[in-house]
Amino acid sequence: MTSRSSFLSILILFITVILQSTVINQLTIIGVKPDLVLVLLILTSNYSGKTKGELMGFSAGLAEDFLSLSPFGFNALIKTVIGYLAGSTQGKIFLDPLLVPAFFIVAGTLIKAFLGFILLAFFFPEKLDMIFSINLLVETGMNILVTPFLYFFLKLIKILPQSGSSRIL
Amino acid sequence: MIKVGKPIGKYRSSSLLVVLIIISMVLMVVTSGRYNFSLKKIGNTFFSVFQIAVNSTTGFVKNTFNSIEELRKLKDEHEGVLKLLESYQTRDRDFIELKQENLSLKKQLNFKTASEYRFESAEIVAQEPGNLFSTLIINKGTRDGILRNMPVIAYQNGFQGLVGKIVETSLFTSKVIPLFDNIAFVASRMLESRYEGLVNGEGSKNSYLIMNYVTKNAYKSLKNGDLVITSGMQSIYPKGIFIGRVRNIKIPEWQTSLVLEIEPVVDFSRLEYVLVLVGYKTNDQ
Repeated sequence: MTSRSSFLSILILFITVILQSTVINQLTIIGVKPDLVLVLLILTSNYSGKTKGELMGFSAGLAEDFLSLSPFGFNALIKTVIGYLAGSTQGKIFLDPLLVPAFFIVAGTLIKAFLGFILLAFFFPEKLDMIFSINLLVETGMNILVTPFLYFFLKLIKILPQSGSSRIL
Repeated sequence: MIKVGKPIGKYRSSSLLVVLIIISMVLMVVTSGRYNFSLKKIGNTFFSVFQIAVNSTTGFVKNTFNSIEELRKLKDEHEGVLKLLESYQTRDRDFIELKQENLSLKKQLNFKTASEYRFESAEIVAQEPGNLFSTLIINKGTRDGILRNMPVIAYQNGFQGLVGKIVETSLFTSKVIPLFDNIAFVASRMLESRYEGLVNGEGSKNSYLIMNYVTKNAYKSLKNGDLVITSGMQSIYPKGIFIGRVRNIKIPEWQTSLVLEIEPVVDFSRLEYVLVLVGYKTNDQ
């Protein structure tokens, strides 16, 4: 991944954080919205590797923390770990438009919930009931649904390589 | 050189991961519960500019598409309003009489005649980016005199209902923790029977609020539809603001108090504008 693509990825993640707090609020099911930042982070980290993945995750998470009521660093930590884990699959697992990303997104959403559970146990134990609830199922489903669209969007703006080129790398 | 460089490169991302996790942990520990942390305020101010821009743009597009439909609605509403106006003119005369009567009675009882609060109206421009917490971000900040812990209310269906309180401010925007968040607690009272309790959210704008610590002796005096108001027993919220209506009364055998499900007076799913009580001083300010 070039430095131009890295810059573009971080910029897109920042814009997505803004959209996540404004427009995406209209796309809710039982009050739950998809986590577009998570989906974009997983897709881009898989292509850009561990180091860039964790840095992108940290930046995007920090941006979310600025806008959130969560403890400052909460989203940064979760997204850093997810960026690192998704980045560590670089060159080992290649993305297709549907199945592999869907698996990644399910895993990513569950890791987010798991890490969130651990952190909330220390900071907001009142919120623990909310993590492993129907909301998690709905969020996972919504994340899977938006993934193909974001996958093709990232290909369109050439952050992800055109078909086949990732295999060559 | 190459032999030394390789292992460093190999462990670089893992080391970075540890460093970033430590930074995040330190940030959480240092800033947890201290919402006036300056770094966060700076970031919040920076992002709030974009939030306002996105909200205004989407609002403009939405309004443009809705304008034709709205014109037709407006025509119908206009005719209805003209009829209403006639009836209100009659009521207005009654109202003036009642107001004068009320004033003289208040004077006799030595009550304050004017409201002690000043309102600052604000628009909700953004919400919490994630699903775990609930935040409403309004387009008024310290520049407009908004301070932490100021109560936030809204007018809906003729009721002045409680929305929440300000938890964090930046120059242009402020964060409101809404009633339905499960870390929001409000000292409350039944309007008619005067029993007290503590209202707490369940984390979702679609779920009922819960009122705890209402003594079991109150059971016979309560019924579905009863109004719940702020008790004013803590410094943050003034007393007498509507919170919601009782929708269900539970009597858990293992508890000494009742659990009431409360439907908020404010419908949070269609909340666009709020009022911040800027004149109301709390102990924190």
